[in-house]
Amino acid sequence: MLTNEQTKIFIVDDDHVTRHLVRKILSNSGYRIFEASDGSEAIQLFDEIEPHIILMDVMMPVINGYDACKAIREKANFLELPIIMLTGLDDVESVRASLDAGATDFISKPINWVLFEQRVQYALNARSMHEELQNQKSRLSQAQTLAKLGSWEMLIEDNAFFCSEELLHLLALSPSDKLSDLNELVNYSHPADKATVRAHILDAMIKGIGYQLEHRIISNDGSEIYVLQHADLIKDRFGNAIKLMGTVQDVTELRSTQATIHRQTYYDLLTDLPNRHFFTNTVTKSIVTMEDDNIVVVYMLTLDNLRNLSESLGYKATETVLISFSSRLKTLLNDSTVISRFNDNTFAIMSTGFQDLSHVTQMTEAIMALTSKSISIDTHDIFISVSIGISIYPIDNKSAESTILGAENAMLNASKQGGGRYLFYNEKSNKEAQDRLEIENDMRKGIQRGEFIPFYQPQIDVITGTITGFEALARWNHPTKGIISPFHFIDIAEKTGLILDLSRSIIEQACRQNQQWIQAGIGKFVLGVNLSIKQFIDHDIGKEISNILLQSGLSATQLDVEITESMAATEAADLINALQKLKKVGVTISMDDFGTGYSSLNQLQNFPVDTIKIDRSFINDIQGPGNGVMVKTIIAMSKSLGMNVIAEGVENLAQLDMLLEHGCNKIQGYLYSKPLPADEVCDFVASFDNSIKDNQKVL
Amino acid sequence: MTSKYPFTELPTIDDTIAKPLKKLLGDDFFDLVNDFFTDFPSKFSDLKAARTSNDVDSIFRISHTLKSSSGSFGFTRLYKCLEHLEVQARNNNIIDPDNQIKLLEQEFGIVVSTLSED
Repeated sequence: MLTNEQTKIFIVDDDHVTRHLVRKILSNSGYRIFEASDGSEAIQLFDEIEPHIILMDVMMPVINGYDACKAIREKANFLELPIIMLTGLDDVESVRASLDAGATDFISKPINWVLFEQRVQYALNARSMHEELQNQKSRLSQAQTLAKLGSWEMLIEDNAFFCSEELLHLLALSPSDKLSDLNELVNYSHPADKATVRAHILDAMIKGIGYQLEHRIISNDGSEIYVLQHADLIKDRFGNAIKLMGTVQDVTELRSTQATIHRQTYYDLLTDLPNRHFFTNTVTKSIVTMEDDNIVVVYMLTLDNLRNLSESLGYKATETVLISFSSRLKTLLNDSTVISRFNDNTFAIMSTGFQDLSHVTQMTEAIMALTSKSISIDTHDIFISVSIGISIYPIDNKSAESTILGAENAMLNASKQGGGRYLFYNEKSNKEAQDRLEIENDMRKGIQRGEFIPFYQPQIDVITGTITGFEALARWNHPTKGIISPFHFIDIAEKTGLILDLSRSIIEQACRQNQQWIQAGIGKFVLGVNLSIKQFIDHDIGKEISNILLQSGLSATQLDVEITESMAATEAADLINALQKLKKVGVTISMDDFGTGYSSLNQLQNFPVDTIKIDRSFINDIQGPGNGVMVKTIIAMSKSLGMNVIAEGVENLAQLDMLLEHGCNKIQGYLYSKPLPADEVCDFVASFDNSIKDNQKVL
Repeated sequence: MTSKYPFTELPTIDDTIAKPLKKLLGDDFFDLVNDFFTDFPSKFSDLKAARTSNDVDSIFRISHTLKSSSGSFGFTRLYKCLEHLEVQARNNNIIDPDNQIKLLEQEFGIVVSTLSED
């Protein structure tokens, strides 16, 4: 803001009395006064004086006030200079002509001298404010250009839309271009981002929620840029929305810089794997966000003898080995695994999202397997080995740092013991892992050697007094430990995938056996075999069963395939298709363990099931509260759907009576027989037939 | 109240203009008035010459300038008479110009004598 002493006032009037009056009055307040006696002189002196305000008489010789005003206005730098015309009283025509000529205001003659200075002061204030506004606008515009920040606003009442020059620049439009409405701006969004941008705008307008959104735009020249868009709904003092205002900032370079910084901060440049910081952060986050009962496993790996390699073949060779090994490690990547180059010779792996330890041994073996092939460097074939340390949260350690440190210590111990091996952080885990690995290896060998055999448990129709069939149940005839029940191996078989070979072996043996019994006239039984859900995934189970039947010679009608209710609940859609294929083969289908899987009647109707097998837990306590009702309901429901019902785990006559009372006459359980080895079945059939005959005699 | 030529009902000096101006300017007021009084006869001669040569444009311009100064000091009746002449000159329709010039001369004399009394 100018002081009076700095302010130059230019009075242009042919009447020297008026000029003198102006000078006297205004110079008393310190203003600097300059004079001209006509328009021509005013134009001549103007550039020299560069006044801050002009007071111009209208009627002057040579060049009148209007023309002088126009001439001064045409000078580009003085568009905002206040020019006040001195017009005749009530001379509306002069006033209009003055304003047309570009005057800012007018003062009527005869001049009211008392108010004169205030009028001049007012005009000077307005000029200062205008100048300040222009400066601010200019500064803002410069700042926006530097920040690549465009702005827009949309008036709610009439959808009128305004945008800054910088926004047009961001969109590669010229300053003379216009966006007609907000929709036109949204249309510059990348097609994949458009819906999100619209949703945010709608939310802002409907719910009054401002937003900050990073998205892409495709500018007019086709280039793709990333922008950060902020918008807020502006309300009047009554709470009514009046406009939506937004800013759009080009953050393409910023993102690129951030990405580079992120890469340099969190990645190893040699192997392109996440580095120590990234890994530690990820383990910490995984521990914070993991579900209860899950575990987080950290594996630390060091390449044995890498120092020797460096000494003999140089650091370039070492780098080649590290790059090659990291590529192999990357083959282990999946959604729940993070692999990192932790430091020079050490890699780290984190696995999460599972609950049991079988994954640990699988992963460890998979890492070990990566060293089976040599790495070629020039003419050398380098054989590598790794030492692996494993630590498990929350079993071994209670924090991310201690879990990582635990794995590192275990790795160092494995290395000290000669390398090419793995060690767990604690002894218990080592023991468990070794036991598990031992069982797995044992099972593999057992399947190959035919140690897994079916035992057969009869299914009896109590009303007819006949053996209707047998369920084949897997047993492990271990060479040193004897017969092992499935309780000890089914879980491992499922988790390791050994179940596929195991199940196939049992079904093949059972089918051959049943066919032998039929051919030997022992009886024409329906044989029940259990299938695992794994046999339905990526397997054509229909074709597999069909082949087994063909090889054994057993008729499909003599085979019943059992699935569990829990399978039906988890894999419904695919399972139904697979079961329908099995039905086409000609086998019947039973649903095992029914009552434990929360299947609804509606779901059950969708499955092509012939028989429902009531889970032993209901039979075991059939007289317990609720169980009787449950069993009765299952029986009634099955019958209404035209399905057979078999009760499993029947051990005493009280249970049998209750089942008969509810209308279930087919049973399986220790009341009649435990599962029998094949060579005892013939004796059982004979004695059962005899006892039935005896009973009939009694009856 | 609408006043008509020769505006006899108007005061020679309008105190609502002159007094505040005197207060604003102090002694400078009289210096400026003296300038006006000194300047007026020469301009008035020009006006009379213009009348003689029927130079309406000059009559218009001179009456406009003198009117402006008169109005500034609050010499109301002189101002109105000059305005009367200016308007007629602009419209190129001066009624009884000699009489108007004579009246202007009289009015100027009255202003001078009135202020001299002060």
